[in-house]
This record gives sequence, C-alpha cells and structure tokens, in this order.
Amino acid sequence: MTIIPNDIGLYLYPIISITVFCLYVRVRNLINKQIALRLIHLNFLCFYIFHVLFFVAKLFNTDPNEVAHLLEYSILFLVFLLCYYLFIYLQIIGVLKKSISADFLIKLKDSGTAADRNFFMEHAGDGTGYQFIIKDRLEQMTFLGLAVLKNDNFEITKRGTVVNNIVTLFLKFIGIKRV
Amino acid sequence: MINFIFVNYLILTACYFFGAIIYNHVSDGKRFLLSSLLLCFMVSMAYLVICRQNHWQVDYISLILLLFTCLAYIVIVVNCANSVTLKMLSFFVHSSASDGIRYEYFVEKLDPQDSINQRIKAMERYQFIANDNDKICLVSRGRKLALILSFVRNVLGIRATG
Repeated sequence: MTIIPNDIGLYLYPIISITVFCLYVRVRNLINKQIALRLIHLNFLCFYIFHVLFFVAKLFNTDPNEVAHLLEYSILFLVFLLCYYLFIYLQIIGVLKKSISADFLIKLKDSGTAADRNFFMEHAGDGTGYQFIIKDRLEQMTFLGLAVLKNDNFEITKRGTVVNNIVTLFLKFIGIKRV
Repeated sequence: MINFIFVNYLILTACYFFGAIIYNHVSDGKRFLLSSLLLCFMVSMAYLVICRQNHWQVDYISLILLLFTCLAYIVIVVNCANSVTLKMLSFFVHSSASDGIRYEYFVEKLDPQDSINQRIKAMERYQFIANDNDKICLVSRGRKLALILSFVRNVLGIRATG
C-alpha cells in the first residue's frame, strides 16, 4: 500500500495554504489578530474537509480498490491537522506573537546596544512595558469568555472555571507542574 | 487494513503515554522534552524489534502517527504549563476575593521583575545573550535567532503583544 496518494492536490495544499495564509494575515486588518488567525485556520480547514469529502464521494463511482486510498486521506488529514495547527499555528505564531524571550531578543537586536534589565520592563509588548502583557492577556481572556470585567474587577466565568479545571487536572494527571 | 493500523497505533500510543506519565511522576517533570522524545524513539525501536523477531510486517504509518502524537503531546503540555494566560486564570480559583480581582493583583502576583530574570537566566544558559555587569548584549547565536524571528515576524505582519 502506498502512503502517499496519487492526488497531487494533497501535496500542493499545505504549501499553497501556508503561502496564502501569510498573505492573508498581512492584508487582513482585524482588531484581534489572534481571533483572525483562528478564523483563517478554520477557513482552510473547511476547504480541506470539503476536498476530502469530494474524494470520498468520488469513490462511489470508481473502482472499489480505490477505497484503500480513503485510509491514506484520513491519515494525511490527521497529519495535516497536527502539523498545520499545532506546529505551525501554535508554535510559530505563538512564539512570534507572545513569547516574552523572543520579543526580548528582537528588541535587543533592534536597539543595537547592550541593555540593562529595566530595558525590557520599559519596552516589552507593544513598547509600553511589561504591564501591557498582563493587560493584553486579560483582554484575551475577556474576549474568549474566560473572564468578565465588572466594576473594574475581573471575574472568572463558568467557561473559565471549566478550562482551568481541565488544564489543572490534565497537568496533574501527566505529572507536570506549571512554570 | 484500517483496523490493523488503528490497533497498532493505539497499542503504541498507549505504551508511549503509559511510560511518559510514569516517568513524569517519578522525575517530577524534569527533562520533559528530552524524555518524551526519547521514549517515543524507544517505543518505536521496541516495536521494530518485536516485528523483526516475529516476522511481522512493520506498520510504518502507525510509527509516523506515533511521532506526530508525541510532538502534539509535547506542544500541548509545554503550552499548558508555560501559559501566562492559564496561570492568570488559576489566580481566580486561588483568590479569596468574592467580588473579582483587580488588575493590580495580577501585576503583584506575576512579579514582572522575577519573570524577566528567569528568562534572562535561561537565555544566558543557552548562550543567546551575555551578561556583563548587568549589561545584557546579544551574542552571535542570539543575534542569528533574533534576525530569523524578526524576519518571519515581518513577513507574517505579526505585532508582538507579549
């Protein structure tokens, strides 16, 4: 059994999608880039599912032996999800957007000189300081419905409690402590 | 054929997770990344040896899927354990305040200075920066990484938000 299917579309799809993805992020001007990226990912995912469904529908009119390719498609589909979402989206975008250390290195490079510890405190995030990071995270939590702002105080929502419980249980189960 | 691959994959994954979880509990989560990858390699090798001894056909698809599952597991765990957002979410649960938490509480609890110092130490250990009398500068390795990160950030048009 061949691992790679004959359909060239599956080879080209990740390459095309990543290229279009870069251009799409570049031109799309939404307030919350995080949500925009999720929407973009969803768009591509829908397109890919459609592509797979089209192949499945095609199977009914062709040689029954080709049903074996369905397995290859489902495997590539899983690999696509893992590669594209976890490694490309979460890792690269996450590091570039949210990594404090990566931001530190870039700002140090841009400054061109040696800096002291206060340098990053003053220039972190969008350039307004480390506290901006905390504000940004709180905004994200509010946007995602994990917390709500009431009278200048942040309160956790039901969804936030569920997410926190799941993450805490998961980390406890696998034996990893939060940093 | 589908059943065969899924059964293989499930057995390999179960062995992998069983080993990974036991190791994490025993070692207190130390050397998580290295141990996770090493364990994936060991499970794969054990499978290949068993197949060879019993003259079974090696199922390479299951091995590829195992590798991706291992990488996915690492990414998910690292993101959950290091996430500042999730850590902030846990503050709500541990806080005794019934009427919510003020922004200042997070600033106090997260201690920016400590957070920065931890990262500076880590970057120094991996030789990305040099620290000379509290003056931090990039060394060759760090400069290269910063150039790559900066380039990709510009290409994707991503703005740092911390």
